[in-house]
Amino acid sequence: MKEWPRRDALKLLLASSGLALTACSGLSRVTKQRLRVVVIGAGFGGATAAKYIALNNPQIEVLLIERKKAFISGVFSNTVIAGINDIDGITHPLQRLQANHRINLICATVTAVDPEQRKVWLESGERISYDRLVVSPGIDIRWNALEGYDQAASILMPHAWQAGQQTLLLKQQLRAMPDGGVVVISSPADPFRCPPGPYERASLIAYYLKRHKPRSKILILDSKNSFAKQPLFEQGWQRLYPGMIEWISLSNGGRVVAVEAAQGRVHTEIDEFKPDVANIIPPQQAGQIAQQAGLVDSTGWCPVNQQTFESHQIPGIYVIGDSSLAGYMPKSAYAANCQAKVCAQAVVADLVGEAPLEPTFINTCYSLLAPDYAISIAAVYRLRSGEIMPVNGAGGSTPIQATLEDLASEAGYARGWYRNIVADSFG
Amino acid sequence: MKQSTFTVLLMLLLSSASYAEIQLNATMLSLPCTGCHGSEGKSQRAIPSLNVMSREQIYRAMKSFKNDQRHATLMNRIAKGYSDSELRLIADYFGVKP
Ligand SMILES: Cc1cc2nc3c(=O)[nH]c(=O)nc-3n(C[C@H](O)[C@H](O)[C@H](O)COP(=O)(O)OP(=O)(O)OC[C@H]3O[C@@H](n4cnc5c(N)ncnc54)[C@H](O)[C@@H]3O)c2cc1C
Ligand code: HEC
Repeated sequence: MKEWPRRDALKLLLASSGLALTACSGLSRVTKQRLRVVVIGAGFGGATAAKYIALNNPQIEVLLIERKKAFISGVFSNTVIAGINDIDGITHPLQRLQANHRINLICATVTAVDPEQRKVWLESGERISYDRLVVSPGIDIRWNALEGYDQAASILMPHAWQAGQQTLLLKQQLRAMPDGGVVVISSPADPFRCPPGPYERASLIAYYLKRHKPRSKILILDSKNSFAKQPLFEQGWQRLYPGMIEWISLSNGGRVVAVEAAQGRVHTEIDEFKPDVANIIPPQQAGQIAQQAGLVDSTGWCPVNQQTFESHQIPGIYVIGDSSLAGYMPKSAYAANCQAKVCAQAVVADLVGEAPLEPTFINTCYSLLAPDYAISIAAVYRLRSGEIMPVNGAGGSTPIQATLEDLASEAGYARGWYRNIVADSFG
Repeated sequence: MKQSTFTVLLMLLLSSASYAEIQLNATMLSLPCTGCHGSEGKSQRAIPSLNVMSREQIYRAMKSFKNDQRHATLMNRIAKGYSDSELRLIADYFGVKP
């Protein structure tokens, strides 16, 4: 096992009992109370943080609280919509974290956080105390930020931006659509979860339609004037799905402002559409529990110390993944997994009274345009004056002149990456 | 006298060097790779495993990615993010002894 420099078990016991290191003679009186870290959310951020805290220091008791029985991944959920994968392929049990790393898994919803008492409240009314709290609840939809887009509307016009029922709903609607139908995908302004995600989705819906309903069209209504890996996506659409996908930018009136779900209508600032399927990807904010705990600022996301991920708002609480404001890092599973490892080191260091180590980060997002055609974007990040910044001269996208052979290799690597990040996070 | 001036100069040099490039811990440099290459560099599929390579093999592979001497879909974009001495630390972290 290659791990951080081994922490002294003794030091931990002393730290937990509040004794100074010099109080050696008092050792026999030290109570064996273990320090406890509670983690909220067993997604890519939370599961990884729990695992790496346990790996880093087995003396620490780790409690991982997740409301769902198994984790359903947003990553690769577009392959389920396209019918090249099923929901089981993106559903990951959490029990291995318990078996392999002695993490205590609790299947429950956290309803409140009490930072004064250092306790979290479960739906059942039960309270659980913590020494440090890690919060990784992903995103929450900003209901009604688009006029008319509420929970009821999301059944008729699924967002499918939190994987599970929503993913299956969108898939079913596409199956029920007639050939020659129109699919609208509305894409939000930055920042949101998985910036290339809407365009990967358009590609993979086109992959399905080309095979089963080839006269159909996809219209992307965008609240932005450009998007991640745009030239590569457009080149791929031209090659794979000519004439099938149309993109309407913000300046061409693409921004969706309202929906009438019952009537099937989608309104932009200047136009009205009545598509056969409407996939509304709405504006987002930090997971609800982060809002409730007072961890968000006016942006709706959580400001943190970008070296440790400790909240700027509440000491002793760390926020990672989509909910956090992590400098220039996008909201992705790769980023959440990477941040979790840095946060794990910082939490353990803090508990034993040591300084956190200087972090580095990587992010990569693969996007599948077809089962044998993928593109990628990557960056290496470091801390500069307290902010996570990309390293100049490194990173970037797949070259536009990449060969079809390389694009097929990237599709294979994307599947390998998914397998490995799932094992690294949940295994 | 001369020696202490030299020491001061050396310290200044060292501190400016460390300002430009902070001495990083091998683990903190290497853990970001395992999201792709698998925990401890053990990959389950498609992406090569790192834990089966020697330190020298890893170092040389990273150097040739960094200098665009080896064709790759992605690794040249990653390798450019690290100094040579950091690549040594990373190679030592994942690599097995020859
Ligand atoms: C269509 C799509 C495609 C994507 N593709 C990619 C990709 O190719 N690459 C990539 O890197 N990323 C991708 N992503 C993004 C990725 O899914 C997220 O960025 C990542 O999951 C963020 O991790 P997280 O830990 O912040 O949140 P999540 O992984 O969403 O985990 C949050 C967990 O917390 C739980 N939870 C929340 N509140 C509570 C509570 N109060 N009590 C108990 N449990 C709670 C939730 O049930 C959930 O399981 C994609 C996303 C989508 C939607
Ligand atoms: C996004 C996924 C990804 C990340 C992140 C990543 N790699 Fe790679 N790595 C690959 C792929 C894919 C290849 C195959 C070469 C290619 O096409 O880029 C590879 C190849 C390699 C090789 C050559 C292996 C051989 O068989 O010769 C080495 C060494 C390597 N990577 C080391 C690293 C190190 C060290 C890091 C972290 C600093 C890292 N990689 C981060 C995906 C990744």
